[in-house]
Amino acid sequence: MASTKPEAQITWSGASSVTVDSAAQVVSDEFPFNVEDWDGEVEVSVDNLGTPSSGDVCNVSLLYTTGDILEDSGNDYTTPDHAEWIMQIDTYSEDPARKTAFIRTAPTAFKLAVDCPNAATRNMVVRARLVTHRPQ
Amino acid sequence: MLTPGELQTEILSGPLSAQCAPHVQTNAMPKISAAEVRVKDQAIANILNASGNYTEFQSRFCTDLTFYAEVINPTTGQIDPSWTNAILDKLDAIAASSTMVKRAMSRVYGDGLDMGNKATQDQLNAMATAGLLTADEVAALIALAKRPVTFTAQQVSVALRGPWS
Repeated sequence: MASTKPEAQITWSGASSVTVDSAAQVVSDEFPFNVEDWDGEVEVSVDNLGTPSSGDVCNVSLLYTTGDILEDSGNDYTTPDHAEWIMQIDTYSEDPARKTAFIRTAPTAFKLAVDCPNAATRNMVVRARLVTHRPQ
Repeated sequence: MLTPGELQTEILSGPLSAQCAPHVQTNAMPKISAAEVRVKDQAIANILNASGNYTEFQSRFCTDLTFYAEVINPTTGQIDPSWTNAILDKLDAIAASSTMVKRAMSRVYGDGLDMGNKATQDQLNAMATAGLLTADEVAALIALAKRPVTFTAQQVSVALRGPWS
């Protein structure tokens, strides 16, 4: 049985990257899983636009959804304060920096949430890409 | 401990600013890599640490034996048990008319008195103000609780490039 590993860029308002310019959490567009996605891995890239300083980190979390839990309309995602933290990228250690993490594929879809506490002082460009394993 | 803003002032215009200057990297300068800037930040931290200019108070319980063994007479720059003995004599005399000092001295002759405690230092400074001890004597006692501050590259980075709040 052949299998595939389709890749896809995570987008923010349709763009393939986002420039974070404040400490506020920034959430990606939703990414629905294909029913054949058995496994997934997300890679996040962070580029500090200034000379890095201690504390110039990017925290990455996942907001999953199992669908319309409120039974009103549309997918209902994990609320931001309860997002699943998956990694912290420290640009004072390495800049630009990239890191991968396992992502669960059983949920209906997910959004990627990033927050960069020092981004108001030094903006950060964040990109993310997903690869899944489809054993079909 | 210096705030990031105070540390920035020390680096940019303090007595070591000329030594620090070649290593300063601010937000106004063109971007350099994380690896490069960590070396620069650490170089500044090393300059500050090597100077011995920066101290802070720590909690330290001292007895009369600590005083004899470590108090430095500022006139000679040497540990001076005779000079220390004269200070203890003065404190014993004050204790004869002050219950609070009497109790504090019982700690000095017992488990120790915390020379890093602000209340202890305030009381000693009040004695100097009242002319019961000299300022040099009080400073020599309080100095027992001083320790050098060690700056890190991380602290330097925040001082130079923020955020400062």
